[in-house]
Amino acid sequence: MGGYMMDGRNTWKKTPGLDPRVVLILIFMGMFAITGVFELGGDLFLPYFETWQASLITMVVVSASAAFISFFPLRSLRTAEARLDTLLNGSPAPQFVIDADHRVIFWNRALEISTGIKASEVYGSTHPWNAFYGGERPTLADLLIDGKIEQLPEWYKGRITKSKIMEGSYEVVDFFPHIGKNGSWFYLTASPVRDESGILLGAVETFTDVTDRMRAEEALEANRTLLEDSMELAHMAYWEYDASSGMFIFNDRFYALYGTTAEREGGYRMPADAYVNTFVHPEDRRLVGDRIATAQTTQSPETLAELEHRIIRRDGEVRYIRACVRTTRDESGRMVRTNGANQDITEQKQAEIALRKSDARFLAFISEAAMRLKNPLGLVEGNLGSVVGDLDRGDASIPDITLQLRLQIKNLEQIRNNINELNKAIVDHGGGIPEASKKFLTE
Amino acid sequence: MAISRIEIKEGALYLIMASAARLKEENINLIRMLLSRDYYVLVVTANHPYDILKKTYEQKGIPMEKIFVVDTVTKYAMGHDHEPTSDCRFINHPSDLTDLGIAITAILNSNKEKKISLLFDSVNAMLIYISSQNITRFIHFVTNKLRLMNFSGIFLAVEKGLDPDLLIQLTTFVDKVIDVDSEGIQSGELKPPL
Repeated sequence: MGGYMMDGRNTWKKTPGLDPRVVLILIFMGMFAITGVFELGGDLFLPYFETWQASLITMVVVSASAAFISFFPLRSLRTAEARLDTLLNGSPAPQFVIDADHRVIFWNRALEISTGIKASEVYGSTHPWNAFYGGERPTLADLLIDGKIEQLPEWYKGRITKSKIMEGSYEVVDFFPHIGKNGSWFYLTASPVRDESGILLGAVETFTDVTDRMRAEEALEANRTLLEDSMELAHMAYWEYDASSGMFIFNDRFYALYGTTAEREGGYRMPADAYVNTFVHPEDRRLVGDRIATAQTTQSPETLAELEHRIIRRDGEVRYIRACVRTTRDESGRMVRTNGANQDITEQKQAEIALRKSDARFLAFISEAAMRLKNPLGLVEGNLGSVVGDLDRGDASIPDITLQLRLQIKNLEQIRNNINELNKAIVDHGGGIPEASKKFLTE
Repeated sequence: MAISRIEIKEGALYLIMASAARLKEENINLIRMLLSRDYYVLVVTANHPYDILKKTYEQKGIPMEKIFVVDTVTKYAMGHDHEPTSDCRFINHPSDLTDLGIAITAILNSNKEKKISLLFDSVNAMLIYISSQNITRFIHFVTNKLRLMNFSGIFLAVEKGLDPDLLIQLTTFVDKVIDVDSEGIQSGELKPPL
């Protein structure tokens, strides 16, 4: 049986064995018992009291009375201790208490369960860290006992905060890899304990297991990071629309896509008409405005819409956006949620435009080439026919015939060059043409 | 429509469409018609060398006194210069539009007082050497020149095989399009000069 008491150094400690007051009573009673035995033999037949006898009897009565009187406060104190033990041990929050000499004086049941270390194993020891950390280091309570407040950030990098409730208390969320199967996250608080005169008695450290919450936050953060990465890769940004206020609710990613910041735009909320007038390309404003109006008047429970339009970023650059919008309504047709994602499709659009231009150029070239082949060939054919006619009629001289034939040969040479140009254009425009075919077509 | 029935108005421009086989024949018919109406004719040829044209005209009884030729093919076909003649200017190559433009301008400027009609033979022959875009620009240049000097002009072309876009553009440069093969006038009434 043990108890709590103040020793001569004003420290709060637990002492093992019998309570000192009980020991004192037993000593007194023993002394009187021995004295009585010696005196009893000599004075058995002397039935009168002497002075020393009267004093002895008085001492016995006074001691017995003192012992009797002292018994009740002791019992009361022990009852309070038992209640405190019960209360602390009954707490679901793991706790331990150390005294001013860093010795463990309390280690509750919840902490026993969490750490697997019995209270009896650590009582009186100065190494509570053993239950939480892989190597020797101070606990938060130890640091508070030593008043090493400046070292707190060093031991709990960026995660420690001063309690807003308890003066001198600190809070931290920390991961303990040695507790639990895969480690555990604890929200822990440590408070110094002082007596009425402000003298430091010890410190109490309380743990709250926040592993599930932290795991959920980790998963949420991982998903958020994945989403952010995916949006980054896809050049996308999400947004919401608050129908009641007619305001868009944007975010940093959205603003980044538009080449601006929340600071520059005065926050994350922006009226719909301000957005349209600020960022939508003037030629597309009517289109976007109509689509917003349609979304507001449609009565379907849920509508999905896509719209491609141009925007003008804050830096003046014109970009193409594909906006995907989902509108959700309740049974009464009231818009309860409108959100969407805008994707920058400028590169895709530019590629499409370039392809269309390329196709148009190619088509124009083909038409031109066809015209410069088909028509001249007919002309050459006609001219050669004329030469043959002259020969048939015998009314042409050899030099004239030669000149006309030379001209037609020149024409045919040029037509062959034109054919090669056409082939080169086909090769340049079309993919998947084997090298041998390319060579044949262009040489 | 028979060429002889075409009413050439002074200062008007025409695009005459004919088949390739009839192009040479229509050239002769047009020359004959123009001369009969007291026109001096500036023949710009990319289809027949000057010597051949001259012999053909002479064989057909067409005097050369009122005909002047700008020949774009003879030097190119022969590979050397032709002997100088008073009624023809030879251009080095059919694609040399700068020289061609200078030659036409020079002849027109030196005959301002005369009643001149330009006969361009033919758009299609030029297509062998020049892109349709450049032909369009060149014909635009020539038609502007003719309008400014109030000369008439006739541009011969083989319709089949001409790109519709090119045909539309050529149509806008002239006042009337005449298709001698279909015996009709495509553009109807004379359009005001552009």
